[in-house]
Amino acid sequence: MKILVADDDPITRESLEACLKSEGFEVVLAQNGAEALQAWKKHRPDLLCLDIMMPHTSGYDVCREVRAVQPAVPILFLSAKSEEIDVVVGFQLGADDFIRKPFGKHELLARLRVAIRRATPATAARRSFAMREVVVYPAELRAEREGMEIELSPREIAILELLHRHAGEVVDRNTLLDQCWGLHYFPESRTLDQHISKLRKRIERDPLDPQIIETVRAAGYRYRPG
Amino acid sequence: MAQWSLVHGANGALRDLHVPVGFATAAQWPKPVFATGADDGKDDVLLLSRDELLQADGPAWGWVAEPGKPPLFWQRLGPKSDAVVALLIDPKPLHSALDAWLGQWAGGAFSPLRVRNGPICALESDDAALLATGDVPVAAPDFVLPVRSFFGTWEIRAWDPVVLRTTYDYRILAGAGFLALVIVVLGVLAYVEQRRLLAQAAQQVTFVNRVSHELRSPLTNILLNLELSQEMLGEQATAPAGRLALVQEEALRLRRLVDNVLAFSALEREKYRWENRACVPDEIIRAVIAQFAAAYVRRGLNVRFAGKAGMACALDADAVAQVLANLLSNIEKYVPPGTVDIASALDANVLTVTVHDEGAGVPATESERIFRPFERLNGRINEGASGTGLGLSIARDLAFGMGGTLRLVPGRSGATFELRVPAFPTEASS
Repeated sequence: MKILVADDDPITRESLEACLKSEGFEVVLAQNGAEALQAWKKHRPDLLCLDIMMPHTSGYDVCREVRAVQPAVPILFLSAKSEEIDVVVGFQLGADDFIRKPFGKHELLARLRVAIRRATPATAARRSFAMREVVVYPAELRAEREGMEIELSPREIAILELLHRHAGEVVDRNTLLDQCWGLHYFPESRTLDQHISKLRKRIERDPLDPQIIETVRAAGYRYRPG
Repeated sequence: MAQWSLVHGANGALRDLHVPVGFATAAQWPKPVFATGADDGKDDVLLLSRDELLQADGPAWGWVAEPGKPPLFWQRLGPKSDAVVALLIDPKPLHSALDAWLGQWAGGAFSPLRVRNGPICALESDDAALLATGDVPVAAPDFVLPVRSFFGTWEIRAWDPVVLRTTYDYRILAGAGFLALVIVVLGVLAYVEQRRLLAQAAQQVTFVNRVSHELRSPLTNILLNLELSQEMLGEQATAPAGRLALVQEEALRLRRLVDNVLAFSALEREKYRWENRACVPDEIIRAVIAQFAAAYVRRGLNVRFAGKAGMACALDADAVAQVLANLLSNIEKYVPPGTVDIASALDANVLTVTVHDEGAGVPATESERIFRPFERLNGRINEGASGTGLGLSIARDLAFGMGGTLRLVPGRSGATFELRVPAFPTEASS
């Protein structure tokens, strides 16, 4: 899933990129409104995160132009401006959400998921696969276990999809890293284990006695269907 | 005299006699007759009372005046006579004569006033001036003396010829003028100073707002990178992880402070925007509790959360989180080690959150004051914790803005705050 991030503050840009990439999103960056429009035309992202106050072309202008062509693409404003009029203008231009700075990673991801889910067509939303009692909805970045909703990142979806595709087989660490992080990405050795640990906490009934994602010592991980 | 008559008391025995005299001003004068009942109501007769006029021991003469008819003078012919001579008086020449006589009398009687320039007096009859000591003013008289008699009514009217003459003491006038000028100058100076102070206060508010706004972006970067760093460190309880947790705690405190400053400013200017969105109340509460987890552990505070609001609903999640954060922040600052009970319930589209601590509580007399801005339960410098005194005020304003309430629940030991806000059903839940 591709996200366009436009912010004139380089540190914010870099921080957002790191946060989103760590969750498995593909990120396209723009440092002003004009660049954002170019990047949008070139990459056609699945979601746009726009700062409002940017040189030359504001986030409002970008939103207006994008909405004229793509009425359904989710657009989120991430802004330090929080006056009523700013929020009203943002929503009038068709923004899906207005996230006031400061915000943390979890809040950002939660709001992104809501926007993505809202923009997902009903047919795409229904595409799902089951891993024991857990039903995963990839397009909505979520899963359900006995009626309880579980928020998932694109990377966690990718891990589950890969394990589900190779149900009963051991998927080795390199394959998982290549498929879910990309061939050119060299994460630290513990990155995969940390992700699996986080994922187990969400989907397993008892994370200390995992039934869905098994660890195969010195080999990798395996999904064992019930 | 207009007419003389001889009227007999014995009914029908002798004929009455009526003889007009001189130049009468009326074609026909009413005839005086003793009232018998037959002539009652007629205009051409003047009724006499038999009992009064022919009483043996009564007066021998008298006057009779009937409204709208000329006056009549009567005299019995003898002590035992039952005949009366009646003289009918023509009222016009009588009135003219009386006017003339009164005018003449008043000319003499009023002359001292005219000589001494006394009050203007006028003798009037039927609104026509008979005599005046000067020009008769149009204004209402200061004094009216009615003169009523059998032959007519007159009025003596007087106007007090007071002339108001104003003289000024120029020294006092100059002093008063100077004083007035000083007051005006001081007023203008006070106005200008007030405007300047207001502008200065507005600039300070704007400055604080701008600074708070400017803090938002770096705070976002700090929070995002802290979370990333913590993820990179994983779940190991290393020293750097502990330090990062502390930094994150302080960053969150700074965030609350910025949020409070901007919320207070927006609420004061009625610019705060409440924004309902779909959320699960218990998740919001857990997230806020998580923010305080480390600080509470350090202060020996144990949180027990009984969440019964796990259904999705629409409400202003940011505002609810800010209210709860302000309540928990107060507990962190002022409550000694103990248990903090937090409970939530979602019933009939109302979210209720109660927060109870085992601290010293709030005296009943202070239960409203603590919600006022800049008010603190103990404003002393040595009370042991810092604070702006805005937290509860903002929390209550936010609760009111959402259409709800925030109150201190009386009764239990410690302090119990109760937040109640409308929670609307979402599309999914409805």
